[in-house]
Amino acid sequence: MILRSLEVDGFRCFDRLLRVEGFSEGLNVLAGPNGAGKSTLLRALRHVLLDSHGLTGAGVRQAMMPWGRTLYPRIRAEFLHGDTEWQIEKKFLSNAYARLERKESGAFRPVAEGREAEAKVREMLLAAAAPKGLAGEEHLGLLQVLWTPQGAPPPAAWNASVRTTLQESFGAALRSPAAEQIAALADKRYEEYFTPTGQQRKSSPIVPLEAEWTGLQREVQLLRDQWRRAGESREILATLRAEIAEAAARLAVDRPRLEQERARQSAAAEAAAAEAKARSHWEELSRRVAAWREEIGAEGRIRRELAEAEALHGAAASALREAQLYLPKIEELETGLEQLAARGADAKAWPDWVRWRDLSAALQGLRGQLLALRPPPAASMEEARKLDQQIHLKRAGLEAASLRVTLTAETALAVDADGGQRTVAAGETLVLTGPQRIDMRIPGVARLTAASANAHAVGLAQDVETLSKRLSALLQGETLAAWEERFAAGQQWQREMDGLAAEVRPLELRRAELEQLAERHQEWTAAAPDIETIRAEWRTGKDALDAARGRYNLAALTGAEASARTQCDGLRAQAAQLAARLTQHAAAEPLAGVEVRLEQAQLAYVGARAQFLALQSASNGDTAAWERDVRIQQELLSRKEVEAARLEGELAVALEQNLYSRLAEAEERITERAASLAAHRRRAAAIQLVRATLADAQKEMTAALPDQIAGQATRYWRRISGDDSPAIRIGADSWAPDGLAVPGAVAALHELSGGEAEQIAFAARLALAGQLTQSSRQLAVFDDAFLATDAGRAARILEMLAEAGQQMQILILTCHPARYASLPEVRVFDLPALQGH
Amino acid sequence: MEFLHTADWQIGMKAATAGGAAAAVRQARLESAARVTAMQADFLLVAGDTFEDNAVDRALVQQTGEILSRFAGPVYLLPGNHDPLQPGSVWEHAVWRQYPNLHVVREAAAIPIPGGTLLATPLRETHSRNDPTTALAALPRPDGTTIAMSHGTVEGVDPDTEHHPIARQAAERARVAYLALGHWHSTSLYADAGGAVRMAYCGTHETTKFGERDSGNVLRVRLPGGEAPPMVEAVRTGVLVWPLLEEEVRISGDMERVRDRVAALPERALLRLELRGLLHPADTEFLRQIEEMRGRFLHMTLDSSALRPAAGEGWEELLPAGAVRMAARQLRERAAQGDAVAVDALLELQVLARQVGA
Repeated sequence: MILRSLEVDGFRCFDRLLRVEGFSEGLNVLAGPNGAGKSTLLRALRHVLLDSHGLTGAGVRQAMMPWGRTLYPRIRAEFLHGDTEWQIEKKFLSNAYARLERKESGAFRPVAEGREAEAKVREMLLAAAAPKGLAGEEHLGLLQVLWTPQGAPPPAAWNASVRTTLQESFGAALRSPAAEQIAALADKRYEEYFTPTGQQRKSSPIVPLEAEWTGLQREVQLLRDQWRRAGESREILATLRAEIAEAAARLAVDRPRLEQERARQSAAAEAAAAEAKARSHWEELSRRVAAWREEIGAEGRIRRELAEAEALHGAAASALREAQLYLPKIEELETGLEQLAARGADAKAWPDWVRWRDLSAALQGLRGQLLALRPPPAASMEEARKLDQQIHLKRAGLEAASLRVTLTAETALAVDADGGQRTVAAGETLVLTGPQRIDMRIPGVARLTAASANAHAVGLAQDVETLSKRLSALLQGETLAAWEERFAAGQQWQREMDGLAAEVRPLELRRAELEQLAERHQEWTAAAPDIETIRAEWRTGKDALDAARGRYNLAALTGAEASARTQCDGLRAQAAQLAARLTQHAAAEPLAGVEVRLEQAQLAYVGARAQFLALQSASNGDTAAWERDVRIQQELLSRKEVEAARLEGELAVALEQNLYSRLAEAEERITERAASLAAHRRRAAAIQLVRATLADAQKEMTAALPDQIAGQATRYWRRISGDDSPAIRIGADSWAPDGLAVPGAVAALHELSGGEAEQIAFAARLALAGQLTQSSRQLAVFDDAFLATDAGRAARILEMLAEAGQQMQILILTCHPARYASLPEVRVFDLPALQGH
Repeated sequence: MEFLHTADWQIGMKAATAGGAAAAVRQARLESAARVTAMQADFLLVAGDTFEDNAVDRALVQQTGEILSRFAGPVYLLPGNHDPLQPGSVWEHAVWRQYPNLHVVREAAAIPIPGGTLLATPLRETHSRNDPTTALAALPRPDGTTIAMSHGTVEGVDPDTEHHPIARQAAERARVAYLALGHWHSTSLYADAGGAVRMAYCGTHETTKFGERDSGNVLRVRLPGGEAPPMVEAVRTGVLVWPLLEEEVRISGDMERVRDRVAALPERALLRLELRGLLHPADTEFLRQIEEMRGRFLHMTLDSSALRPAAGEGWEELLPAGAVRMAARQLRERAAQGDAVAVDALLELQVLARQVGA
């Protein structure tokens, strides 16, 4: 924008209307002493361009209203943007409004009001709307770079709109109009195929081609399948036709052959029946003749056997008679042998008799001895032992319970005690005991009586006495020891007797036998029998008997004679029976006649058999199977003919559809479309790549912007401070100056002097302003921006400002107007004068 | 005896490589067929593959039969591997019974022909490893000149196919004066040890594809009689040309030469132009002129994918400074590394620059 005029009324120190107009498009100086309102005017310009007319609140009132007055600010600015003159007017706080007018035919005409008017102006300055309150640093748009406020350091980073504009500005500087046209053409071609987001555009020529190609693919596939099937059908049909022809030819041969075979089979069946009949007749006659011959043979055989049997019978009868004559001798031999056997048995038993006799005698002797000893019976012995033990126990108890008197004589004494008198020598001791009372008297000396009240001792004494009496009565005057001795001897003898008795008992059972034996052979009591001699005699007898029996076995000979006789009788009966039957056969028909008939029947059978075999061998096999085969062949043939007819129908239909032409055309179309599609795809890919490469190149160059800005700013800075000054460093992301690149380090802005800092900020802003004003002139404002700069450098800055004034509108706010007097074609506005002071 | 030997008419064939000219290509085959039947001879042998497929339109079969019927003499047609004698084949069409001068070989037979006997065996299968000429020797041969006709691959012709193989000495084995072969689309004559041509492929009467050598002919065969060798002459019948130009451009001006070659081609041509080498900025104009000649021909395929923009010509320096020039350099570097899209992109950028006069 180029500022044409500014009008304020009721704004801070301007309680009256002030209009500043006639700004040059080059250099302008707004001069006035401190407090004259230079910066206030600049602030008013900022409010009218950027702030919302609807703002309210104490802060806003304080920022805008004159001190101590209830006046509401109204501000109006005229400016050039592009090729159009504009005028924006705003009233704040009361009856607030905003109105944008455009100069048309020499007069301003309203264009927009209110927020629309404000939005349009902000758009011209690439500024963003403040959501609340007054516009801040981030809402300044291009003014952030172009307007240098009083005493403020440069911002840490430029806002987004500035950066975007700078990118575009530098991009424009890098691209000529021809390049722009190329890029535009590339965009246009790209848009034929793609949407801005890179998706394929629905209107892309590729889309219908792809759709058509896909459809054609399906069509071709379908047609190919149909065509292939038709080809296969032809192949199958050819095979079928060949098979049908072959099968028909085979059937043409097989059918008449089958008929012939059937006739042959019928004749063979008849021949088989005739053969069976002849065979039956022949076999029947054969059986008859064979039976006859068998009977003749049997009769002869039986007669021979009868003759043999009769001879055998005669021999048997002779042997039987001889045996009967020898029979008494055999019986004699048998008797003798039996006697020898009995004598042998007695001789074997004789030792048993001897032993029985000896054992019986020994047993008898022991029994006599035992009777003489008379040992006490075992029960009595036991009782005596028990009584003796009880007596001992009682006596022991009595001794313990009895009175005891001990008398030791000092001189020989006579003592009456226990009913008797005795003499006790000097020094002897006499002990007297009694159960309850002891009476002792020493005649002439003393009478001693000892008594006890213990009744138990008396009882014990009585028991001892009683028991002693019972034992004595049992022993009958003998001692227990004598009893014990006899009892032991009796026991020993009894055991010996028991042993002998056990030994003699089995012999005793044979007592009668042994006594008879002893009675029969009293002679053996003198000398024992010689059993070996008896055995030898028996064997001799036995041999003789066996020999006689072997030779003259009467039973066997009797049986043999009877058997032979029976056999002779049987054979005679059979022979008679056969002879009768043969006579009967011969009476019916002689054997020779039957044999002639048999021969004839055999010949008849052989003939029938030969005829059957001849017919059978002429047969070609199983007629049923053959017929089945022919029937199957016929069925297969029919099926194949049906299948062939179906395939022919299919082929006819396929041919009517002009399948091959359609396939050819479809394949040709698809090839053409595929080529066209490929060409389009290649072109689309190519244009996509062109566009992407152009964009990449653009980005690459934009990425180099900070360096370019730094280069330009450094050139300005060196003009101010000298050629050997360090380069200005521009932040890679902020694009704002952040110091000087001194060798090996970076000197941050805040580390520099105030003058250097404001000069570096000026150089950087001027470099950026130079870019931002490439496409259109803009207003650059410097509000007392060089207060810390020395005169020498200030002079060089003036030179630079003079040059910049060729490219942009410059407004310098200063309280030292003389410093700028040397600027060429500068327009100076004296603010106090304008105010009428 | 003088006869014409043709084969492989492939009527109704697909011509996918001909793009939009496929129908014209098919039509041309009928046109050149008419050229054949307009020629004069004692008889005409068509040694197989008269049709591309047994499924071709029956109207086309009728049309072909009519063209053949116009020949002033008997025509002997042999079913080949493309149109084998099968149920439902083209040979069941009524046209073959409609014209008395048309004789389809339907079985291995010794067929009486003007001046002698023709031995022939029809193919019944698309694929077979049997030599179709082996049956010829067993056929009866009356007195007079005996020739034969068969269809298959003579050994050594195409190592990649074994279908219907034919022995190199098939003519000698069949003991015929001349064996007329079909299947191979290029005209090929086989001389015996004495230098006499007794076996030959006539080739297709009309070229079928790009790169097909010596096709578009019919053979006129004269048999003087006795032991005299046949006199075989190729007669041009094709109406279309299928030039395949594989041009390498290296230096500036080469493209102009290519343009001149293309411009000199006849209009009834199907052109495939494959360019490789370096495209100099100055040559883009000639390339554009070639592109513009596309409409002159029945069909033209231009493949410039193997072209690489020439470097070092200062072309980029003529572009506007800044992003465009930088982009052009980047694209050229990628193109030099074989990036086909970059090649296209660079050519596109050149076109854009030319459009804005940069």
